[in-house]
Amino acid sequence: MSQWLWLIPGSPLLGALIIALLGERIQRRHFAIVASCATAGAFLAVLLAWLMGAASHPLQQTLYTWVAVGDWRPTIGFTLDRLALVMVSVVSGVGLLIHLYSMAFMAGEKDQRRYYFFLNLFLSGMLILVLADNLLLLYLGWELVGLCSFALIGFWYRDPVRAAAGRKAFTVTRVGDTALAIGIFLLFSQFHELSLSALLTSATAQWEQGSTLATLTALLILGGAVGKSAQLPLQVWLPDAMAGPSPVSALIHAATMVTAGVYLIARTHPLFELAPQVQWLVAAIGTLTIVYGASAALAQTDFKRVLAYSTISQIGYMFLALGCGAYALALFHLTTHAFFKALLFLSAGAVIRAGGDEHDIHRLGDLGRHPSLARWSFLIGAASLAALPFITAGFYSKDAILAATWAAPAGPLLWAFAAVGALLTGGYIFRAYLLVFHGSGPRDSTASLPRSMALPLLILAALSITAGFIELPEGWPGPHLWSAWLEDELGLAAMPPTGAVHRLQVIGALLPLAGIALALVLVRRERAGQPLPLTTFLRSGWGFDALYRVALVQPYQALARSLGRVVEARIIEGGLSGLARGFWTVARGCRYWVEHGTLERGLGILISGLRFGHVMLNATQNGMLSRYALAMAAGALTLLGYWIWGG
Amino acid sequence: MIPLTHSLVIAALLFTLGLAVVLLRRELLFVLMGLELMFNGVALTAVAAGQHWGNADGQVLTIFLMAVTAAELVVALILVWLAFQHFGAVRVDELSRLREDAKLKGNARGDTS
Repeated sequence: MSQWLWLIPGSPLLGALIIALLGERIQRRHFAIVASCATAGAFLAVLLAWLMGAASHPLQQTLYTWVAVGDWRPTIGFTLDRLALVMVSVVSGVGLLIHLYSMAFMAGEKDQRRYYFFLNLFLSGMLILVLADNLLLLYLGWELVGLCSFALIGFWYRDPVRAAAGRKAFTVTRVGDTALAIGIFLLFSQFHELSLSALLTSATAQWEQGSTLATLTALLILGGAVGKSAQLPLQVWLPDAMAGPSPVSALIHAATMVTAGVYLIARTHPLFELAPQVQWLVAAIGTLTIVYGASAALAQTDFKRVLAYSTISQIGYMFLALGCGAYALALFHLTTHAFFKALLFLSAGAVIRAGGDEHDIHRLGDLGRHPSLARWSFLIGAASLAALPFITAGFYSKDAILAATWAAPAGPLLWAFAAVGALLTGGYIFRAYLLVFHGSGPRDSTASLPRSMALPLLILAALSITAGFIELPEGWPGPHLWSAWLEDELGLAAMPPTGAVHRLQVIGALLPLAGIALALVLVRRERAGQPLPLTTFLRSGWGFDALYRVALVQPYQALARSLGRVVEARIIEGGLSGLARGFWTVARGCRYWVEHGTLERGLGILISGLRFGHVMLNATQNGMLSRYALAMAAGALTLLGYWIWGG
Repeated sequence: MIPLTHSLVIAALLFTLGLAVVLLRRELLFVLMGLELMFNGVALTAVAAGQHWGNADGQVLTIFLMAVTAAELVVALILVWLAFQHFGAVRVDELSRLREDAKLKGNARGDTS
């Protein structure tokens, strides 16, 4: 299997290339098939890897040396260990379902070629990122993913708002990407090495715990992760990114790209363990983001923005788990979140499309006639997101994180924030559910969805329920497959004592129910025309956009304008025109003095000199034999004389 | 025994006389005669040097020189005769065809300037 590892990222890349290069020859409706087959290829390769035992021992493949400079040779090499295996399974599996869904969802779209090209390229970028065995290749995947997300968010680029959303996502994530790049440079300058395994080993061996360099490196990597995963303070791009098509939102902003930051931290976790303050910062950012996202989601009116803020908040849980050292649990939540959030986005997409591209949850509620499958799958996804106890996957993953949080430094404080977040989660998602599906509109329509849309919804719904059963909470009888399996690679988090765990579990099970009650109250108040206090503040995402506009964008624009007025108009343009005038004067001077004076006169002298020489030399060519003989004799005499007396 | 110096002086006189004839006389036949004189001067030098060092090479060279000169003279006389027949020339100055080309070139240059 090792030599076929390249197929996992290679298959979607090949699909993208086929679509890009041979697109002229492919019919419009066949793009979806080509793209889905390429994704299916990747998924089959992942399945094959499972069958060939990748779950027990890592696979490794080095394709070729990318760059060779002296003794530094980064390679195109892939490593498939358990962490990567989880990620590629989720990415290729959910990616395949979303491709299937897109087939029907995007059927009416004109520009299928661009859509599927970027969708496939995105998947291959994500898979390269996950499988890369060195930081350079990881960064390549990282940037590829960023580029594709820009192109897919701004897919309907004729609408300036959507195009601006794409640009915003690109610019904001760039801040994080720059931090990550500097972190990579720093690591390289210290160890002269980019291979992940070697790098982490030597970092653990050479750096002391809490040393400045380790802290700085961990901070820079955290910066990259925060940008990509839309955590505070770089979360502003994600809500706007909902301008893209719904399958794109499901793929990029729920299941895969935003989890890249989580993956990055889990991958480089030895570095974070060397810098405990930074690791705690990860947890702190996570908790703040949980509360931030959940509270902002409470007040949204755009259906997809609710889900966007929910994603921000849920990734906060993963960051919290990472910060507490519970890497396996972060991955567990990542997996279940990928299932239920993709399910939520896809069913929301179906509802929005059936409602004639209506995004407002109140008006969607008035419209009614939603596809009933979308309603049920949304309900399952919402239950899983709210972590409804015992029956949903979200419960098991979120509950485990909450329990692990308690044992971390300042654990009870972090736990309290996370618990408030859990309560709000139930509140916002059921508020959205009640407003959309139990509005004043007529009952659900019975019209069935197209099969390629229904199938992914059914599969994801099933997974959203069952995926949690592989890892039951601490202290329960039943399987604990997940953490036992990942223990070798990622270690186990410290857990609080059993009694405390049970108390926490009871509270954790009650919180979603309280959240649903909160949702009922909220919806009743909202229907009665009494909105939540602070609605505007929450709806605008705590005013981060306005803050950034005042603090960063406007000064920057002012700077740009003043630079344009002063530097460009005066200095650069004035300088350039002065320079041009100077050159013109010099050129004119040259024309008068050099061309008419020196050059022409010089040439004249040269010509007359040559003419004179010609005449002189011509005289010797008189054809008179005796003259020639005289010249020869004179020459011979001269040479002879030189030889005898001169030499 | 004749000292080497005397022979060399005679040889030098012969060579210089020959050269003078070649340079000063214009008639083709006289030029040829002058050439013969120069050859003989050279031959005398070779013989005298051979005698002085007791080496026969000088004599051998002279015999070869006589043979070659005879042959050369044959060719040269034929050329003189042909020159007389074709161009009616007995003086070297009348044989200046190369000069004609130079004149043509001179005219061409004059046109362009």
